[in-house]
Amino acid sequence: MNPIYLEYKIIDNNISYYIIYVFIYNLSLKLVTIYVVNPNTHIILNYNVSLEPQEIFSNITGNQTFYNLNGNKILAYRSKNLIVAYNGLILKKVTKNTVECLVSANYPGIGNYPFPNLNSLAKISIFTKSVKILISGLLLTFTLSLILWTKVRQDVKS
Amino acid sequence: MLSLNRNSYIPWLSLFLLFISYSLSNGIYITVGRVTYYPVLKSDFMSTLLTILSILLLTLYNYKYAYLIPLSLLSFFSPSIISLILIIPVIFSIRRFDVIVTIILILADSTMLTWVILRLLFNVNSYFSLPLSLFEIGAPALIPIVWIIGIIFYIFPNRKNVSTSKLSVNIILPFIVTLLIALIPYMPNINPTRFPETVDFVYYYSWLVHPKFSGWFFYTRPFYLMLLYIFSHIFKPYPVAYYEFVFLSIFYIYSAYKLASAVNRSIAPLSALLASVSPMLITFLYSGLEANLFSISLMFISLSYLMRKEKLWLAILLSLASMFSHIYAWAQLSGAVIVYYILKIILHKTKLDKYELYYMLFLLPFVIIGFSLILIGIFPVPIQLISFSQLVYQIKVVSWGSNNAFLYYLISSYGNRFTNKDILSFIYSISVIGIFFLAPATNLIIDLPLFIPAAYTLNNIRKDISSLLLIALILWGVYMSINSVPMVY
Repeated sequence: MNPIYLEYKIIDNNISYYIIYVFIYNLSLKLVTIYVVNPNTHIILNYNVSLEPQEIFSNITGNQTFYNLNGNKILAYRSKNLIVAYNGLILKKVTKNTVECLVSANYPGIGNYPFPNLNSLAKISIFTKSVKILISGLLLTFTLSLILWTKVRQDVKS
Repeated sequence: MLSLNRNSYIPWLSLFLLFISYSLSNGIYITVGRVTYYPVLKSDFMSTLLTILSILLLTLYNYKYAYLIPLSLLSFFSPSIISLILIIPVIFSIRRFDVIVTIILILADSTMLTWVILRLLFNVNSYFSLPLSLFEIGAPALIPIVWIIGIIFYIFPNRKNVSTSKLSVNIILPFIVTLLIALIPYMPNINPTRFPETVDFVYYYSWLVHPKFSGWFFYTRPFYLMLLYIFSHIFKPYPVAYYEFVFLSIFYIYSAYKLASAVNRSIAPLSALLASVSPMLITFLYSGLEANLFSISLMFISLSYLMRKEKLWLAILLSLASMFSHIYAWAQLSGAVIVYYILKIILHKTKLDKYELYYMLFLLPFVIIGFSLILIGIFPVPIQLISFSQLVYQIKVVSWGSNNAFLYYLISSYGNRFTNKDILSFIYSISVIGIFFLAPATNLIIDLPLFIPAAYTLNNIRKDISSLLLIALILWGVYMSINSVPMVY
């Protein structure tokens, strides 16, 4: 199942990171999981919050424009520092030193993209690729299996 | 012709292959270092391959299963649904126990033990957690079905020759395991940044620093907050908020022991051990909900007195303390108790004895007031019908997937066949029905004493299997506890 989510890229003084909102009860803002992914420090934070509507919505109107989301054109309004989709969702927000823009989403009326791969976004690998660890782990598994096997056999006999 | 007749390991092997194929078709939602990664290991190709392989094996075992081959080929279209459908005939093809089950469990246990050792020694997350993970978190969609099957087991019980002393556990062991699970997140090599592991730490800590004796937060849990307030004057607010979980979990295990010994004294230590590694306690470890944990612990002790019919006033007092500690958890448990007795009077026309009558009459007004406060919205609860896929998604994601524990629920649901206390089974059934009407559905499950039926199951299956399952559950608890802390790369 592809979750309903919004992925924003935030460029803050030349440092860029990602914020992903995952909606847990349909489109309700009451319970939303937030992922903050920082590719520079290889850190992913993950917590549940309830969102205030003004964090991702705005009800401005202005000149009509098209917002380019992965090559898909979305009809939107443009005002001074905001680009807002027809359903009120903020697509791009420019403040003094920060630029926040939507880069991917699975959200009605916006897009239907698959959920981003968190570990490649943060430039980490979840599992270690070290061969030494793999070999020592296999040896450990073998030893522990033998121990458990003899122990369990005793259990059955007794 | 090639035939694998009379090899009873084949159906078991098919079953395991199909289960793995089902897990791979959906991908697993794995939690590593307090981050839930979305479908990891998703591979439709491998899933299709395993499904076909498993059915071919079954056909070689008995040619009458050849009719399943065309169905297994359909898995090219939808590997997850086809593997799920095929599991049913495969389960019915199993005739007797085979040693391969033991071998697979040993492999899952030893790889997970390897993972724990490597994680503690070298601070790495290795692939060795995957075999047990595939069984534990590979099938979240089956978990609600397992819960519902638990109700069916309760309606059609098997109470003949129920063993209660096959697997004996020392009474000290549950407390050691609880301390292990609760203290791992405080270990300096696991948690170098001293990250407070429960989510609700912030709320309790900020309340202790700026206590406010009004508002929703205070009114839903006054007794618990006052208790913390007193402790924060003796110690400092930070250590009280930081370490409260350790003491609460010990209290929870004690209450689990009390409740289980009211059911049957010989299963009590095992039940307490199962409580210490339960997805319920793990959810509390991740999410906090400290007042809720305290409240259900009080309520478990109150219920244990009720079932033994002793210390009436203490039982009532504990129930009231539970109400003032967290009204929602109390409303769920005591509401179920009241409904149970009302149904008992109406349907079975039994007369309640003096003890039950006093307990009920004293609590009835509080239950009515409590429920009406909840229903009129002073203590709001999001009541809404939730769909099956939403429920499954909650199990996978909310609280970092700590509710995603298939093996545990399977064991505890099966145990409903053996328990002889109707009241606990009734609380279980009414809560399982409730999950479809309440938006935070998984919060209803974590309040239930699922460790008692689980202990019954482990006492009524082969001894080698039950001890391996117990090791698997303990290892899963330790795994989730280690992963409740953000990992530093």
